[in-house]
Amino acid sequence: MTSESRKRNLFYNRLGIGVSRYLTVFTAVLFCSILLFLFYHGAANLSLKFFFSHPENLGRSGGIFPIIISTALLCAVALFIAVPLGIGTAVFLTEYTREGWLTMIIRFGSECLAGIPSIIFGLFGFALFVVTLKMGWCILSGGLTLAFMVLPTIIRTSEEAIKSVPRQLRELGFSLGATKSQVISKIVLPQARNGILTGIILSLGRAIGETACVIFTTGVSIEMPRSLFQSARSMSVHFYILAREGISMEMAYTTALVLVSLILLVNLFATFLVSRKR
Amino acid sequence: MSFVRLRLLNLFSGSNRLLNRLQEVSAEGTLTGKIYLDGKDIYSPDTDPNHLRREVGFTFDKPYVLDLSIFENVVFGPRLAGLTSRSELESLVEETLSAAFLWDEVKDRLQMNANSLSGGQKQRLSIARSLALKPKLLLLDEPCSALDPVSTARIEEALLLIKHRTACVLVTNNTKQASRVADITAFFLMSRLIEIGPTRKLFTTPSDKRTDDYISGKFG
Repeated sequence: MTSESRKRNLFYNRLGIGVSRYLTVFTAVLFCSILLFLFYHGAANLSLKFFFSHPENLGRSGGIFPIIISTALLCAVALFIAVPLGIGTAVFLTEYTREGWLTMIIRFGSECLAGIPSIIFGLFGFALFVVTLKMGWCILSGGLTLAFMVLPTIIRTSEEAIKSVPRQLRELGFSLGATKSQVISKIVLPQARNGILTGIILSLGRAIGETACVIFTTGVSIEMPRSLFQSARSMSVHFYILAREGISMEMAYTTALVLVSLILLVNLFATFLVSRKR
Repeated sequence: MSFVRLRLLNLFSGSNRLLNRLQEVSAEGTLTGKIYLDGKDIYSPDTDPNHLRREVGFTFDKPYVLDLSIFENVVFGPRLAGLTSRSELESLVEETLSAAFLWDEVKDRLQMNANSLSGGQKQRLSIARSLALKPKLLLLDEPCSALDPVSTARIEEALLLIKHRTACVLVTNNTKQASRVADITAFFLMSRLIEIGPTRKLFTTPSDKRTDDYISGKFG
């Protein structure tokens, strides 16, 4: 190599490292400034009482306890439906079918589903659960709609995780006398566990923060839900209403701070689960 | 070399790739003959493939372990077959790991994840895992091809004892290994059986010139 071209390579190398470093710093600064902004505006009202007391005067004062519970219930319903359905679909697509028109249609369909804006899911959930099935605005309607929304993510990540299990491990299972279903349940799924968990937790992060989907199907009731068939309010919907109707910007920021911290915690937990050795 | 191996492998793995290769072989019209295990034709329709898999153990060319503890790796097959007694499982683990020359190295850490073992130890664990099903036949598909000479020597030591309790078929490209371990050696070239006979005879007075060329190192 001539010294001329070596110099040029070195220059491009340094340029690449420099540019990517600045871009990384920019992303980190952007993220931190959002957090700081929320903290600056919301931290004043933050106390243990905010977490564990009921909202008063439409949310102008008091806490968000029923809203936290509603959010948790919505996510629980969504994952309870979406996780078995998603993993089952992924197992079917990877283990029980040959690549063909059927798998192509299912895959194409689930990818399209992943690209649909959440408000369309909300509208669909409203038309199907709230109106047609006469379930009304309730946590169950909202949870089911959220399940539809996160299903593609779970299918996709589970599929990738299952595909990354080496073929030889399956053959090993067969050579030890396992049947196909035993190989899947005792070898493939445990091996793919981390990837599947990551997908589930990413979906959870999306479901916690979802607004449009929930407002159409669960309504905006500020009361403590006593069953899954009652209307409720998720944290992001609470934030939206507090800010939109000019009820209390301070309370809106505090709710947002709690919501973002929660999502952060969920993601940290996912990182911890994945990095942990069994 | 690959002829016998393919037909047997096909039964246990059922993998598409091998099936495809098998079909290629049969298209050339070379797929004939029968395989008997204990006097029963394994290709006859009455053979239960699941039962057959338990009777024939298999070790892969690369060390694959399940992402479980050493103990659970060994008892994976027996558990599937319905063995639950703790004491029986424990004695089975000690017995098979000893047979695979691994017991002394791991007896104090049976609950450790098997992935923390070295390549040679994993391969001996694979052998123990196959033996735990008490197979009538143990197939070893180039078990040492990914291992260093010291690990290879330990596996050969183990095989020299195992062959007295379980019939073994060892596929290898290492002629010296065949001469050290085997009682009977068959030489395959381009999917055809060239010569089969007692190891000593095959290595000292081969009857086919190609065998002579191979073991004396003219090719291969």
